[in-house]
Amino acid sequence: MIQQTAPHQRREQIDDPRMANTLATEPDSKLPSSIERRTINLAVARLDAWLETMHGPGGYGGPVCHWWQQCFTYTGAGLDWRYEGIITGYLNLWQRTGESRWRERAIRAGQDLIGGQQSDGTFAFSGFEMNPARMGTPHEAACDVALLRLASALRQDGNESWMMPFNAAGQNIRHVYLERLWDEERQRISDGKPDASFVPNKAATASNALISLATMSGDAELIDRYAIPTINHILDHQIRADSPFDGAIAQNSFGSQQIDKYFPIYIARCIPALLEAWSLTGSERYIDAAVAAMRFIDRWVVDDGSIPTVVYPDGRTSTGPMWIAPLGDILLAFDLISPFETFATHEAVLSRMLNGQDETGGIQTATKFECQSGWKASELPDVRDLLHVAGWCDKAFRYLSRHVSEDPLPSASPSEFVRSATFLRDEYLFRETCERVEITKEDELRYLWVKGEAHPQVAAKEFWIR
Amino acid sequence: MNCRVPHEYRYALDAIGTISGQQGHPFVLLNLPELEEEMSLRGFGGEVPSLTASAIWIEPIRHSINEDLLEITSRLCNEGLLSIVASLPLSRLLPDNTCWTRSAIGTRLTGSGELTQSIAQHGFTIQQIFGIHTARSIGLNGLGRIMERVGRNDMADRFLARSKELYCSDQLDRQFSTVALICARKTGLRR
Repeated sequence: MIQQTAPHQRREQIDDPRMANTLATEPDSKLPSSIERRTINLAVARLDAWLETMHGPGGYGGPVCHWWQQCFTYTGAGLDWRYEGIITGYLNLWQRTGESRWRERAIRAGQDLIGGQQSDGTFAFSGFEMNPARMGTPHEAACDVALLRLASALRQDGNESWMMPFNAAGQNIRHVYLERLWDEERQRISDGKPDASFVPNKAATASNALISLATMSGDAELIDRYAIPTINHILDHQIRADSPFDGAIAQNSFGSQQIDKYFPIYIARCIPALLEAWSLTGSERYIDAAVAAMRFIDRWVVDDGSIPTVVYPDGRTSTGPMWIAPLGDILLAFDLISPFETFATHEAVLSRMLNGQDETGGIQTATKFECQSGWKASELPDVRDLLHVAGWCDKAFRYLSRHVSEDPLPSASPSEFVRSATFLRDEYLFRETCERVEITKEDELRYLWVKGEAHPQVAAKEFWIR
Repeated sequence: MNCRVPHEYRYALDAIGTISGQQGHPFVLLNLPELEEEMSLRGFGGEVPSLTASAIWIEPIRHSINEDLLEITSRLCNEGLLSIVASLPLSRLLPDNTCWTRSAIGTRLTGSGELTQSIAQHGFTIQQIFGIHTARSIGLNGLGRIMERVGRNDMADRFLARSKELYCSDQLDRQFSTVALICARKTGLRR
């Protein structure tokens, strides 16, 4: 165990708000040996250029594809977990390069969130794949984490406007997470009180937000009463057994019934909270759980760096889709766990993600999306595979931003991207430019999103798919 | 999330957004107050001009169908687009729908016919009808639940994904759905 803040030292920081500046920066960590910094620098510069094309009125927009649901019909700003990676990524760039333009990007993103906050503390359009919707989880907590990082960075910089993101996050955490989602009976942040549902990765993000707020405000009750008990419930959802499933964390539960599906990207999203719990309490069981979770993910990495989206209890897997941009969250977990254990698969996963970056500068979402409903993969990628989604690319952006050099990033600009693709067994042509995403079928325009607009100008029936 | 609103209504509203989105703010006639928040999220409702290029009519009610159509006709310009969301008989089988669709005309076995006839009588030409949450989709969902019970979550997930692909239909099976989306254009009465 090296270069980690000793647990008790970290706990003392909570009681000293002056130490909250530690929130603002993400520690450096080593890159896999074969990947050069300049490769990362260029990838980040290109991602930034693409993200700029996705920023319109109110924030970063665009269609969304996801395991659970698709959202092609709402394309306006989504105030959801995309901001966690975007704000953290820009703060990382500011911290590493010292260039003020990255601070301005982070501030603008924070203003998107604050501008979209409703009087009840929720954020507008926080449903990601379910948009337009409110009270999206873990999205609102992810926004809070981002706002608190921004507040901490601004305070550290002597910028008095830090109170705005701090207050916005505090309002959301108190009104949404503590007043509405805290389950007093079960002592945990739930995913909705009526059916007593609990989703470990969402609870982990909420715990991260609570700990961040406690770190800035000095209110230790947020940790002792809410965050740690919630994280303990994540442990209750983890398999500890002498089997290939050791370390796996069940996707969710309803009451006492656990849903035994294991999603590597969601398990990876539990790891930061487990590490926080270790850092705050010194209890080895959290670090054991985090390492076991990472080992479980590592066991399922294929040689090409791909990972099944779902692993089922009988060992079957779902390999349609297999993520690319979302791998950023798994790579982040590799980084965070590296002081305790390193994994040889880190490099293959990173290569897969980097290879997903195309002419736009965005990173594609997945491969084999069409297999989700049981069809065999055709030779062409699915439209959803190719789609560049702000709420996935942010994860790649955040991870990569941790590894840029201190030199200014190279200049980059997006180029037109055109590929043949398949969608629901028909053939299409997918085209993205700085201004639009258009999808045609036999020269007929079937989908057109002009970037910045809240709805596509054209969306044929097949793109109403949810 | 507002879970009281069944998914098919939200789906229909999103579809309307893509159909009439470029035609300015639509006139809205809403007979389901439960949908108000969903309408507002999508920018529907609020102040609109006295004459609009599009209109949305949510859940035509049997006893007020003619009054509603007269109001819509007076607010919609010629060639304006009317989008109608109407519950269908199958919606009565879904536990979360039944409490607020009892008087909806579409839930009667002969309701769809009566509705389309009334629309035509008020000078509208029906352009397209979609069935949302089709029987095929419901069936695949049911198969998915069976698969879950026998421990085949992988198959359950595939059935669920497939059911989403078949969620909306503009073919003959559209009438075996829980909700209809009817798109009609105001063409005026032809005598």
